[in-house]
Amino acid sequence: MSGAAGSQGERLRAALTTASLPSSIAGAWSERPPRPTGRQLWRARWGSVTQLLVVLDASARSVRAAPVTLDPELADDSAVITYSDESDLTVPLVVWLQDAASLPVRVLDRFLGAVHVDLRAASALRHGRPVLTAADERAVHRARLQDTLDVFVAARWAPEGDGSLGALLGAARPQQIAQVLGVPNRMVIGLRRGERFLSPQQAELLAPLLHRSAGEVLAANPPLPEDLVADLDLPEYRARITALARREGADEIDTWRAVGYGVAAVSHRQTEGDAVSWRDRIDHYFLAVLDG
Amino acid sequence: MCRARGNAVSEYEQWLLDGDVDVAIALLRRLAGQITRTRSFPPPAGYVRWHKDAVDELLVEMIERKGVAFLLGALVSAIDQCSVERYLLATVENFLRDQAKATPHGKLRARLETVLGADSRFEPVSTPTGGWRLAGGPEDWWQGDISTLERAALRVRGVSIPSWNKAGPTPRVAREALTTVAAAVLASAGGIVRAEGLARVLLERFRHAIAPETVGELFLNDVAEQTAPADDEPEQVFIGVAAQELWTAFTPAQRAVVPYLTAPQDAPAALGIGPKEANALVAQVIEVVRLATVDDPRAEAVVAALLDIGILTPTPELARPSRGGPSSTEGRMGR
Repeated sequence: MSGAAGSQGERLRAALTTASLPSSIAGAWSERPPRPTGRQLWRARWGSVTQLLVVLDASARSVRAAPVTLDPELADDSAVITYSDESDLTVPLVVWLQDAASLPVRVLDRFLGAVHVDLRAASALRHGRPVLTAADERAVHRARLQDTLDVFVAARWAPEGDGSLGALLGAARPQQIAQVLGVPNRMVIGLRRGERFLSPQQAELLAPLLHRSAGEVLAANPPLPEDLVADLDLPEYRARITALARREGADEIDTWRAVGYGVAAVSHRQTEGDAVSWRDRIDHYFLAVLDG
Repeated sequence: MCRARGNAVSEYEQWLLDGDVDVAIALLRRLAGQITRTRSFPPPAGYVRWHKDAVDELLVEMIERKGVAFLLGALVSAIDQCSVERYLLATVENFLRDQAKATPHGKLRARLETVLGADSRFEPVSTPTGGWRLAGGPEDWWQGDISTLERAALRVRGVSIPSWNKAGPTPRVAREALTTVAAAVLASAGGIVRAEGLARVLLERFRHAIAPETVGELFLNDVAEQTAPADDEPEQVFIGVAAQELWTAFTPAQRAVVPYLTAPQDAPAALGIGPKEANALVAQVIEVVRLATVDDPRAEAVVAALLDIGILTPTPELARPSRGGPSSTEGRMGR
């Protein structure tokens, strides 16, 4: 066997050429991701923690999802095993239904396809073998999956916002603040009343005047509107935040926050406090900073 | 270990996104070679050592066996070059470990022919396939769930295999352990059990003793140096050897958790893993030690010696992906 010089290399080339990713995920890194809905398969990512998931139910701000793995040998009896033709991924999937959890939409990173079988009819599906002893490696495998889901459950980027901006700005005269920011005095009044947000750039400008760091000034903002946070959580916007962070060599969470406050600050300047369509504002913001 | 390239297009991106097979071959050969050079896995059949063709043969078998799941796994883990390399290293090593599992199973089945064949309590059956039953027992073939028999095997207490030889006569204590559990399994089955199935059940019951090299699923590739027993007195030497055998059989993750057996709450932070995985690892090590030392009057001393080895042996943090929030961004895959 070893005498056939080069033949193994050719077999390796042939094997890699033959094995190709399913067509359903061809656009996972290039196309706009869809709205999360049931039976979808997603890669979830928070930091460097990643996991394949199947969405069981979806609402506007969260999904109920179960972890999915690809090796049926590691399934236990809490997991169901689908057949190759029962999902776009064309391989058997191990779905850990009993470990399903409610997760924020913001952890959904890449859309990879769909499952074609009703996972709620679990009794009709194959299960793995039971774990009979703690020495079984599958017990550790499942625990690791549960830890991963816990990371996703706790994933947050939006700061709490302590709302102390008014007190912080009280350390300087309104006219000074208006001059540094290049805004009318009435906007400074809005800031001091907690009705407006400082953008990251404005926080940078004010930091020397207030003898605080830009981060401290930004953190004194009021909490971001929940609807804005929910929209920025959507996979289509997360993809753009990830791209922006990469382009600027910045931390992803910092970028998310900067975009959030940037959109909130611009929005209040434009609408004078009227009800806003956050998605339009977000689109305009990205048009300016990412595509512009 | 991994080749971070800043903003340059990484090997994994060229492979997974652009389908560049030449890049894939170079990357896989480099990482598989790293495993085969530093681990003691045997080369594929037909090769006497791990040279280039043997590594290619391994990769072909792995890709053909795992197929698309192999690529999907890479894609799910792919955040940057380092994450993909971690995935590939673990996948290659786990595949070698799976390959190794087939060997002890076949060897144990052959050994049972000798061990059970020499014991009047057992009766071999040869048609339509090889099997075992208790002498004079029912002649029906058992057709249930294998986990029922595994459960029966685990219920047998008071037996262990303190030492195992890969060839030659089976040591008396090991022979007694195998026959005792085999009798319990066949009694539970109430009929004939296929030889393959019986070997599988016994291998699972005594895997840590018979085939420690096949234990565990690796998530990363860190192997700590083994330590030698340092005790002088004969009894202490025995205890040290027993502890050393256990230590040798442990996976890197199991070794890492040994120092925290008495303070498991400290393990997650110290090892960089989640609390549930830490608890499962602690429970796993305790169960393995219990199975290996059950009814041994020196059990406590063996555990103490094991703790000494664990504490004195530097073990690296289990390099799981960061559990914090997003920090660095993906490579081109972050588009």
